[in-house]
Amino acid sequence: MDFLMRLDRRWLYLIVFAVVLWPLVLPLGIPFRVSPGTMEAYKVLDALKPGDTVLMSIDYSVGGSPDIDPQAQAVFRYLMKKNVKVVMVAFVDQGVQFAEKMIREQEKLGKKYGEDFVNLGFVAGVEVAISAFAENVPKVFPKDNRGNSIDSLPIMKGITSVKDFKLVTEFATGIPGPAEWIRQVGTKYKVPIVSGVVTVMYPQSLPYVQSKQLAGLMGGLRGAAEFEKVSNTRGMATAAMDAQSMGHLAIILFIILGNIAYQMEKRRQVKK
Amino acid sequence: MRRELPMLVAGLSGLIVLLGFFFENLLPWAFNWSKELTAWGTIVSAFAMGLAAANLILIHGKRLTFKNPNWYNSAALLLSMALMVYAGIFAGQKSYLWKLLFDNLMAPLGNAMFSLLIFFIASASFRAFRARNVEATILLIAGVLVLLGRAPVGEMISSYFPVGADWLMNVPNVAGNRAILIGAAVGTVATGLRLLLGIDRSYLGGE
Amino acid sequence: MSWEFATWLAAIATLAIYSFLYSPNKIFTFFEHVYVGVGAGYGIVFGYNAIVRQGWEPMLKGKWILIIPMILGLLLFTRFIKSISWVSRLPLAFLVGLGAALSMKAIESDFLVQIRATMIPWSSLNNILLVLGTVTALTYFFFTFPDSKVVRSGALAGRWFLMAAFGAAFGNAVMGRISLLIGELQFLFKDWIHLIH
Repeated sequence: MDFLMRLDRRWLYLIVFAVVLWPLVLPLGIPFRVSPGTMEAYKVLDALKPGDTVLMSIDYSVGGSPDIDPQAQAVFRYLMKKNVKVVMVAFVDQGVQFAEKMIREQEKLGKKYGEDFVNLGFVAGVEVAISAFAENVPKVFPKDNRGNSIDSLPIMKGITSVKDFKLVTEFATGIPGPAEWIRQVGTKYKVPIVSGVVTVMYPQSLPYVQSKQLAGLMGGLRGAAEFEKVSNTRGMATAAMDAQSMGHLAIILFIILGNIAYQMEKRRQVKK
Repeated sequence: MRRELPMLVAGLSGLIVLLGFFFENLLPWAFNWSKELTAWGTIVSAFAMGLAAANLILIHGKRLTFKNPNWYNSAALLLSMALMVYAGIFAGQKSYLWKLLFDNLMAPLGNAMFSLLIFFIASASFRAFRARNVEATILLIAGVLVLLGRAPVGEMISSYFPVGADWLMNVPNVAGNRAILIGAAVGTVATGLRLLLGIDRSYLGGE
Repeated sequence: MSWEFATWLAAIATLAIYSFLYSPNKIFTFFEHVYVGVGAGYGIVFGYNAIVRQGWEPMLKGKWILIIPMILGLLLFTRFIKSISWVSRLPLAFLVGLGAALSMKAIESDFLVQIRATMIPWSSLNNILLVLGTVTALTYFFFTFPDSKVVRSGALAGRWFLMAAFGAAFGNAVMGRISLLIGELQFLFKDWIHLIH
């Protein structure tokens, strides 16, 4: 145990690295179930009809993107499969680029910008911006991210405020997150909100699900994998679940070993 | 005047927005002005984004000018900033340079920075997370239960792990976080009132 | 292995950051500065776009009242001129006032609705625990209540519920960080070195 307590922390780093990499190279195929939160989110999205217009807010930055981008991609692909129209917006500046990437992928598959989807772009101000946007969409975005006038886009016909969207889906790594959207949009306009958050934010967002302020909640990469499973699409999130499992086991092992060593040290001190 | 005028601006702008929110039908002028002011807020916030960059330019420009030790880091910072601005404003977001800088420099750097945390968590799990008392034990057991319950391998070991994790997330976790939410909401409103009434002047800074 | 310049640039940047795990070094510091630089540059680009699209162009089309927020925004930069740095407090105060007023909506979404959601029938053990957990956790934060056995016991139970919540947060934090590492490994060993298929 003394040897373990004196172990250079870089060996721990190497163990984590190896343990997470191994199932990515040699998949284990461990099955997983879909949690109730993701199921609720899927049901709300599944109830949408072709031609419905949905708002998708990409509020994440590069730092948390591996945890949440797969979720946004899975939901966007699913909405495109259902021929639902998607209006994308960002209240975090880096979200614009992630929105553009998703849109470019669908354009290559034949979907039309301005008819099937649009990327309105970024507006500064976080909660102030959400409030302004919710009240009057064309005022905040007279042009979209590509410089087109809002009036010239068929998808934006009839959209004046957030009330004109069938559903709001938002993906967040921090602020703005579910709390800000509920405060500025959910409470006043009563538009249903489905939220995707990074795993770290998942526990603190659950009270909003229980109080029915959120119609559905997906958490992190696991949420993305669950959505891929329930919507019958396979993506990188599903492939990552084995690595997630092994990473968890490694951390649990470290906690257990660390506490065993601590208890043994404590007993030794007492004996002295 | 240097403190009173900003306090008046904060109080007035906040009051109009509050009146517009709570008395939408009774005071339509307040409602209309609150919409206008929130739209103005987005424009002012856009200028604030340049403030951080201006500060960086000043600090690193000084380091570069006076050839401080490791001045080349400051040069790299300013050069990458300039390249990004050129790519975004002049070359355009469809340009190769923009895609290269965002997809192949900014995104990987950001991802790598944040992913370093798992290694430090692993080290902390081994050296620091100790079940020293009842509360710490509850915390660790809850954490381990969530780790096992939310990973496919935990479901494989026992079906009780995901059930237990779901219960933990939906009952004790919701209870604890709800209390924090309610307390934070009271704090938010109290702080908001203090700011609007000019009792809290911390945003004004020093003299 | 990929031989594209863009992929190699991303791989070198990633490995430079990871070199910090071995020991802090100059390559890590260099790329750290590059990251801050591109991040700041990105912010300038989108701040500029937002100002032009939401302020400048509508103003030139006839909405002259937008000159007020444009001037307020420019006043932010007076903080760099010592003699008139106090003027930068005006736009800050404007934003603070707006933000404070908008955050008051928490009284409904985070206060009233959450309290209403706690008023559930005691028809199951989970419901009872949810209600008791919320009430006792709130009791823990009542520092101005007179000290009594009831308050102390309630606060102790509340602390346990809070510890369970923090434990859940810890578990999810670990999960989230592992996801970030998985993302990086998927890039390095799939897009760069084609080890993952």
